[in-house]
This record gives sequence, structure tokens and C-alpha cells, in this order.
Amino acid sequence: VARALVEAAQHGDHDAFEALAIGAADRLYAIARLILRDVPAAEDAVQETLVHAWRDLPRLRDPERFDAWLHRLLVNACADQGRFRRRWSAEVQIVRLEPTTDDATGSMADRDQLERGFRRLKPEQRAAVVLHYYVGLPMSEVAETLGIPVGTAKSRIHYATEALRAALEADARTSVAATNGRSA
Amino acid sequence: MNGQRSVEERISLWLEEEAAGQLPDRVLDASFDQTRALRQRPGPSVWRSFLMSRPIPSLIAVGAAVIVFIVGVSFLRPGSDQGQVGGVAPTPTATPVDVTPTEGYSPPPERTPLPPPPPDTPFTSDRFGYDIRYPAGWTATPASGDWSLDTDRTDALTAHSDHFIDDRLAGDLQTFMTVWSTPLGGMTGDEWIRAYCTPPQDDPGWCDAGAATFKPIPVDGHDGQFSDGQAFIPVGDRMYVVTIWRPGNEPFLRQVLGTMTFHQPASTSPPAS
Repeated sequence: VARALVEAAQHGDHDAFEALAIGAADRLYAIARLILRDVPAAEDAVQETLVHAWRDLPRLRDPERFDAWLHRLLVNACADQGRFRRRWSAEVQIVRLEPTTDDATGSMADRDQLERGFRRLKPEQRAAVVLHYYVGLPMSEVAETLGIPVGTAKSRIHYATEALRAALEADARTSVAATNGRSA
Repeated sequence: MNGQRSVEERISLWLEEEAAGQLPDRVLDASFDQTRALRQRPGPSVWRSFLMSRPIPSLIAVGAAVIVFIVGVSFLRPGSDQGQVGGVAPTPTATPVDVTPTEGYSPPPERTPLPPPPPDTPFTSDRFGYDIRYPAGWTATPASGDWSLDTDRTDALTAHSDHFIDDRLAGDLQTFMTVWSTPLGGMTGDEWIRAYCTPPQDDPGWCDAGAATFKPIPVDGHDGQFSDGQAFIPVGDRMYVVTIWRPGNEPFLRQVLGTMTFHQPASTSPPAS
């Protein structure tokens, strides 16, 4: 992120802020959808993040940390949305994307199992997984973004990865059993 | 094909697939409508420059204000069991509806931090060769295998360590403490710690102990050292490691280490002298 843009926005330059926001919007939206698994909630979380970012930008001490700071605001906004939306869980719209044709993940079964396993994770585990595996943050930055000790970040990712591994392995066992059943 | 990809790769790929999409313009427009009408909050510069330009008078003023506030609160708020009987009705405090996520803001704690009870329940690890005490009411889960520097170093909560679990804690970090030992493999204690703390390529913050100042601590007559929540005790040709997974628990770590004794492990590695 251009430091000059951040500094200009910190001094009230709304055009500079818009440029920063537009540059970050799709990434923030992707992270929010992955954490919340809910399109309207993700849109609200991004909007809340941008509003808070504008309002509190003068308090950001190090402009170089803008992206990390924005991620933290987003995770907080996701937590707020998660709490808010649970009361209307029946209205939650599940994110379902059409399967891609190149099948990069490996198989439809993989995708379904990961989806199911991921959905069973706690929101704070999902946040850690998304920041680590999708955003590509090292453990220390995951911890900083989430405001937790590094050990906690490690354990969250560890448990989440194991849960997803178990989901995939369970699917593999089911597939083998089904194949054996069919061939018997 | 899937078998050739690690679980981590499959997760990354799946997340990338799932993340495809653009934020609708209407969301950006609505955000900018709000921000254009919203004044920014001033930064901390005024307060900070006040403190930095006049440090001593400022500190005195701040200290006096804190004392006045504490005294005032203690006058206005009787003990919770006293309620309002015979006292001044407490003034309702305005609760800001709008939470301010500033740079130092972090989500509210997920659970109330509870000080660990004193360690009084004995635990013996034949695999690793030690005795220790942990708080009653916790669950001790012995390791499922031998701990290895090669394979377990980067796995924070590997099952190849003994886990001591505080069942009162909710969430995913019930493991409060882990303990393991492993052969030094010909290294000195310091060399082993350096090897343990060498960060993985993508994670400069791997080992807290690497950058911290160690403090010496005797454990069962052996020279141990600890930093933050992790203690290293070389005993004979083995290294014993005790890790507390919650910060700010040095007194508890000291208590636990005070109960620790070593004996020959049942594993195939050479016995500790």
C-alpha cells in the first residue's frame, strides 16, 4: 500500500481513502465471506470495516501497517456480524459457488468435505485458517491480527487443520467403503 | 491426484476457489456515502505530545487523576452485595454503543482468564522419564508417541507430548501445559535450544524463547532455564521441555517446575544420567 495514500487519508483526504478502499475491497470481501460463510453478513462486515477504517485512520501509528490493521478491523467486524446474525440464522444465505471447471481442489467430494468440515469450525478457528492459508500470513501476523498469543494462533490452525484432515479422511474411507460395497 | 497434495495445499486451493468474487459496487457506494458524512476521530498526537513535552508534570497529573478516580469510584460504588441500601444510588454509566476498533483494539476475550489452581495431583511419564504435579480437576493426556525435533518442532500442540488440559476453559485452547523430553542427539543444551528455536522459513515469530532473555531455574537439582512460558531442562543426554500455553503464568510455571523430578525414561533412547 502506498504510504503516501495512507498518510493523505489520515489527514482527511477522502479521495485517497477511496483509492485505498477500492484496492482492498475484493480481498476484504473474500476474507469476510470465507469466515462468515454468509454473503449479506460479509457485505455488512466489509462496509463496517471501511467506515471504521475511515473514522479511526488518524489513530493508525504506522502507515506501513495499514493492511494488517485493516485485517484486524475486518476480523472484529466479522465477529460483530457473527454475533448479530446468529439470532436470524434461519435467514442466513449460504455461500454456494458453482463448481469450477478445472477442479483445482481435486474433486467434488473434497470440496464438499472441506465445506462441511470448515462449517463445523468455530468462527475464530475459521478466521485463523483464512488468514494463514488464504491470505498467507505467518503465524506471528495471524496472532497479531487476531489479537491473540502466537501459541493460540498455532493451536487454532493446528486444530482446524486436523479437523479438516479428518473430514477429508472420513470422506476417503466412505468412498472406499462405497466402492467395495458396489464391487462386492 | 488428491493423495499427492497435502491437506494444507488442498485447504489453500479450496479457499481460493471459494473466495472468488467481487464486492458489489453498491456496498462500496454505501460505505463511501457513510464515510463522506463522517468526521474522522483525531489521532493520539495531542495527548502524546502533551505527555512527551512535559513528562514529569504530566505523569503527576495523570497519577493524581487516577487516584481521584479510584477514590471517587470506591465512594460511589458500595460492595456489590450491599446494593443501594443506605447508599448513594449509583449514577448510571453511559455505555457507548459504538465500539471503537482502534489500532490497539482487539476482540473481547473469549473466556474469562482463570488463574490455575495449585499443582497437587501427581503425574508420571514413563515414556519421557519424569514426575510432575498438575492441578486437580485438569485432565492429563499422555503422549501418543515419542517427541522428535524433526517432526514435532513445528507442531505446536503435537500429540507427541503430554497434555495437561484445563477443562474449565472453553474453546480450542484447553491445553494449558505440555511436557515432553527428547534425546539431545549429541548437542549441548544451548545448541539444542537454538535448533528448536530456528524459525521455519515462512514464520519469523516461531519460537518466543529464541529472542527472549532466559532466566535460570533449578529443577530437581538440574540447571534449567526458562523464558515466558517455556522451560528447558537438560538432564543427562535428554532435554526436558515444559510449555505453558497461556501468557502471564510464570508463577504457575515456577510452581510446576518445583514439583518436577526426573527418572529414566522407558523409551529405547539411552538413559539419562
